[in-house]
Parts: sequence; C-alpha cells; structure tokens
Amino acid sequence: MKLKLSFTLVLLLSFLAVLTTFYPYVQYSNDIDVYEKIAGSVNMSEYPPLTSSLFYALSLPSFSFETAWLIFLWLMMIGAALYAYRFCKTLDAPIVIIATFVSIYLIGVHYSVACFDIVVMLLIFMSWRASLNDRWKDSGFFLILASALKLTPIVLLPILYILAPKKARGRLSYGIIVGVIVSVLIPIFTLGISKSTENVKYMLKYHSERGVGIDSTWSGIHMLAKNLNGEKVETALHHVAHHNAELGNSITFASTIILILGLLAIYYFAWKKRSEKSSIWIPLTMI
Amino acid sequence: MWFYPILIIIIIDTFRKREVSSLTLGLILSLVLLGVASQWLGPLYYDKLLAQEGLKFTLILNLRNLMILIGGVLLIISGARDGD
Repeated sequence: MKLKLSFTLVLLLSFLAVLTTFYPYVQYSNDIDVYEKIAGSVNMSEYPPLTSSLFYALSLPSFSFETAWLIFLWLMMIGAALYAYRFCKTLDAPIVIIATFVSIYLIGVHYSVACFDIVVMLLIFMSWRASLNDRWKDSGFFLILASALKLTPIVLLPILYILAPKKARGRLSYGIIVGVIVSVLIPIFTLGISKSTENVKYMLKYHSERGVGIDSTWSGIHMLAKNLNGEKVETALHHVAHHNAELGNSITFASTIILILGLLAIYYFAWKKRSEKSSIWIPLTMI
Repeated sequence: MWFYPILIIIIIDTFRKREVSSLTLGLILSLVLLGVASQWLGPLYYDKLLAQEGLKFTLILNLRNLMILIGGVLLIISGARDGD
C-alpha cells in the first residue's frame, strides 16, 4: 500500500517537473491564448459558463495566465489521482498519471497540455472509475461537471443510467442534481447572472454558425478526392478555426443523424450487455 | 482528443488482467498511429495541410481520422465479445 502511494507521489512530482518543461509550448499556444482572451470577455465565450468562469479565475493571480494554467493542471491531476487512490482502486492513481504521460508524448503537447480537454478527461476518468467501483453519486457528479465544461460528455449520461443497478439509480440522480447545482452556481457567483446568460446566448449562436472543420473526417475524404484530381479544397477561417468552405449544412445534418444513430446503437448494445459489467461503454461512447 | 488517455487506460487495464489479444494490439497500433499523425498535423505543419500542396498531409489527416474510426470499431468488437 505504502509502495503504491509513494509511486503515485513520485509520479505526481514527475508530472509537475514535466509540466514546467512545457511552459514555452503553452506560452505560444493559440488555444491558451484564446482561453486568456475569454477570461477578459467572458460574455463572448464560445465555451459554457463553467469553463468561462474557470478561465476567469485563472486570470486573477498576479502571475501569468500560462503559469496559472499549468498549476491548475497539476492540481487537477493531484485531485484525480487522490480520488482514484482513496475511493477507487489504489492502482488507478498511478495509471491515470502514466496514461496522461503517454498521451502527452504520443499525441503531442498541443493536444494535451495546451488544451483544456485534459481537464474534461480527468473528470470523465473519475466518473468512469467511480461507476466501476459502485460510487454512483460521485460518477453522476463528475460527469455533470465534465458536461458543464464541454457539453459533449452529456452523451454518457444514458450510459450511466443503463449501467447503474436499479437500486443505485437514485444515488446517480442525486449526484447529477448536485452537479447541476454546482455547475450553475459557480458561474453565477464568479461572473454574475447577466454575464453567464450572455455567455450561454453567445455560445449557442457561435456553435450554430460553425461549419465543417477542415480536419474532420468528411473534409479529409473530400480533400483527398479533390487533391487526387489535382484540385484544392477552398478553406475559410472563421470562429477561430479553419473550415472546409465547400461542405455545407447537408454534411452537418448528415453527421448529426449518423451521430444520433450511432449513440442509439451504443445505448442499445450497452443495455443488452449491461449484466456483464463491461468497462468499455464509456470509452466507446466518448470516441 | 479527450478520449485518448482513457483509451490508454483501457489498454493498461487489459495488460493488468492479462487479457491481451489481437484486439488490444490493434488498439495500441491505432493509438500510436493516431498520436503520431496528430503530431504531424499539429501546429507545426497545419499550414502545409491547408496549403494542400501534394498529398502527404491530406493522407496523414485521413490516416488520423481512420485510426479514430478503427479504435471505435475495435472497442465495439471488444464489447460485443465479452464483459469484464
């Protein structure tokens, strides 16, 4: 037991050491720059109010936003590791740190340390491991926090209800309700009701206007087809991202239909195999 | 890419339970290729992808997207085959 705890602490310190070496990458990251700008005008944030209030909070210390960001990541990792160690399996703590290390080196700093998705990942990890250890209240709570930061994790909610035994669904609902209350109150207290409301309106408008990302699956196939014929796809820079200007609403509509059908299929198979207590449904729904 | 570390945890879990199969190896391969392809496309060569001069970066983009798809399919097969 002590060995596992010592190993976890060594990994946490190593994670801090590694994070400090990434400071230059974070300093020149476009994404971190966007987060810092959002902190200065939260009502014009494309992220949900909880995320905006997080960026706002990170802009408050006297040191730079980048430093605050890296410290916050480290604290999040400590929180996730300690939660896993105390309430899940003790080995879950070093595993999440090792998995993050591997991710940083395989996928790159740009998509890991310099991107707020890592925070969402840690919350989903806690929700996932809590569900596997019959801690349904925690599982619901962490999932709602993750969803309040990045909306899309909400698709995991039906999976949690499918996987939770009937007698545990009340605890799951309780965790979800507490999560919703916390996710609503934090922005209200940090940003105020008016700015939080403006943030939600702006976020909905922003995402309804976005097109097909240039690096999406559809766009990739379209680009390949055109490039093979010696032609180029027309690109457009808007909403802080490059888009495929030749693919319109029909592709977005088709993607939505495929996404809904895919999710329904996953929910159906998870429901059919719920008695086997498989741990793959949450990761599968995420991918 | 918020699902990436979670998939690595799935692989670590499989090794811990000594349940390594061809599906695990396929998942490892898809994650490595997905990671490397993402690093190539990352901020460093993103301009070249947008410029679409030659097929190299368009192919890397499609490789990355294909690996995400394959990762999902391998998980579906794994889920259909057995539980924990």
